[in-house]
Amino acid sequence: MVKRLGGPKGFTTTKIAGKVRNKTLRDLTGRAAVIESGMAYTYTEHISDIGIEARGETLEAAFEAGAEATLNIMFDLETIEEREQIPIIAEAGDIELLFVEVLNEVLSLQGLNNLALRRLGKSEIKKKDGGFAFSGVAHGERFDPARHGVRTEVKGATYSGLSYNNGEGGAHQLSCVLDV
Amino acid sequence: MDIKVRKVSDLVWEIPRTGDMLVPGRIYADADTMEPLIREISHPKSGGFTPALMQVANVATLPGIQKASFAMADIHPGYGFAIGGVAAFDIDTGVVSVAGVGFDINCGVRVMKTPLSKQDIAGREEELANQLFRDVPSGVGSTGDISFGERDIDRLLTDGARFIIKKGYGLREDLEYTEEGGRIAGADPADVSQRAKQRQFKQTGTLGSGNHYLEVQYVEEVFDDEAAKAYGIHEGQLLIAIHCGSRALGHQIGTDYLKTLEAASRKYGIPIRDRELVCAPIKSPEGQKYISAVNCGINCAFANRQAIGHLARGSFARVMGLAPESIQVLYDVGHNTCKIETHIVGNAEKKLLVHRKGSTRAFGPGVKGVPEAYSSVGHPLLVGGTMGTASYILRGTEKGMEECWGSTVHGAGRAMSRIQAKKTWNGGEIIRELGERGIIIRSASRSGVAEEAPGAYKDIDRIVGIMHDAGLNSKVARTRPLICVKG
Repeated sequence: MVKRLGGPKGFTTTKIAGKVRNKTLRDLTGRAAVIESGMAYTYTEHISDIGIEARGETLEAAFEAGAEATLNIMFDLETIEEREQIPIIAEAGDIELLFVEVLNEVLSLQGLNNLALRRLGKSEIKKKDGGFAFSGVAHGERFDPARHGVRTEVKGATYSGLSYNNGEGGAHQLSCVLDV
Repeated sequence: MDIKVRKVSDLVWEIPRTGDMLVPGRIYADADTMEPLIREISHPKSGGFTPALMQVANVATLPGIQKASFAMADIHPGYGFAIGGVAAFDIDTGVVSVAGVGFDINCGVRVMKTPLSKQDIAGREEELANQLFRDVPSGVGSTGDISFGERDIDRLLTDGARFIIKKGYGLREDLEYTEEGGRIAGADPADVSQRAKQRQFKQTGTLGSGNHYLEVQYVEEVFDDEAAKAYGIHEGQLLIAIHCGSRALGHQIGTDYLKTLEAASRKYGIPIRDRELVCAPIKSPEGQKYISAVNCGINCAFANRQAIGHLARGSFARVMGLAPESIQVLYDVGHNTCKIETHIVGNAEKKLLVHRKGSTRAFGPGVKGVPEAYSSVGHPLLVGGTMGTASYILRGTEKGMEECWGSTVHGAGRAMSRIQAKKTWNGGEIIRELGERGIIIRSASRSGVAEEAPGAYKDIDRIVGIMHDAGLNSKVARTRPLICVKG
């Protein structure tokens, strides 16, 4: 279900099959969201905001899971079709900051272009200038409040609860608190 | 985590200054509201979040902080600062923090007075609710008919509510009853990114989502006749309350400057306990630019609430035949800001940068900046409740000015996470139950209603009571909702 592709040194690029995505999409309100493919996200209890914990067999997969976790707070993702693509590019000094940077770039470009985004794909993370550079493509369509199942606005990703672990079994885990 | 809490009195608690803390932490709470905060320290939840009391202690380590790191009675964990957190910094040696303001810059409350009483809309509530829901755009990514290009946005960021009134959205006298006259100085649009401006082109006059709302309320009880007279409110009177902020522009400023201040924290070697507290020296170029951008966000939020007030006047005109000028602004005040204010430190007046993160400014009698008509009692403090409970109108006191920089709570404060709330309640059921109690809800999002269920919040009567009993503010009136248009 997870297709491994060649990637930059030290990383593996991952593509997630649609079937797996749909399975993840049903985990709407913090119910167990572990997906056997290795890509998953869960929401963690935070009284005022929402914490996300994204996991992936590769770092890129964890980033994509984090983006989906974020978008899933805003919309019922199953109501969004993939008609438009928008490139997502970000740079930061370390992986944790890059994660926040990417999530904020997704939110920002979504708002700026009046889109409802469904997922982030084609992710690549490379080392650059002593830090890291991300490139990927977000998929979705023009925002239509009448058709898209709207939930709660995410104002931004924060540095609170921000962590990155590359631990057991090579799984990558990223977490942060979103301001909602 | 090792945090010691000392009980100072029944309503005041202190985190004594230890280690790298420059000042103590000071929390307004009673034994019951303190208990979960202490429990949170000893049993932190999963996810590595910082407990609220730890956040109060962390803020106490920031350079230039004065007197204490305060937490109002609605304290709960935020990011960086606790929600309900107040911290003032010396202009020369202090810092400015993104987490001390939040992403929704100058989120706040505007309350408008109608000449109607509760009985006047009897039988028309549904019609009025539908009209308000049609006229005031709400929900995720909401956009409205008010649309501006770049030149106009720059003027909006500089001139706030004044600009939008010139455009025809409201009355000139509304400004007198808006904090800062609806326009804070020191807002340079050049310090706001193009992207932030573009995201705002169509969002002025929209509520957004989350805990934002427009409510039609009635005054249930007046506690302070003198202040109520000065404010022109009486029991049974119908009010319009608007809770929202600077929309996407504010969110983008927060996003942009999080990065800038992260770099500044490293550049200036600021000793922060956690990344969530990134900040810049107030006098640094980065700090100055962020303060200017916040001022732009403050003006944007004033303009936004002004525009929504105008739209609500239109709804009342259509349904109830009211002339726009018969609906007057009681007050408009923010609760996510950092502003330069003059306070007494020691025996002398001193300019400070006061961060209020989920805390309402609470200036008392005779303080500069309070509208003349309210000078004898202080400006109204507008504290929003939840859909099913009460909201409060308070007033500032001299003690509040002396003790906590003239500040108060901003709401009841969440007691339960949004996730837990959605597991516990169903949006449709909440709407039905409230309907049975005579409260009409209109919302674009049912799950949003569940997240904001009244039971997910602390008891507002108790929270406001703590501030009142501690003498930091004084209760003027309690209001109850009749109609709630939820974001």
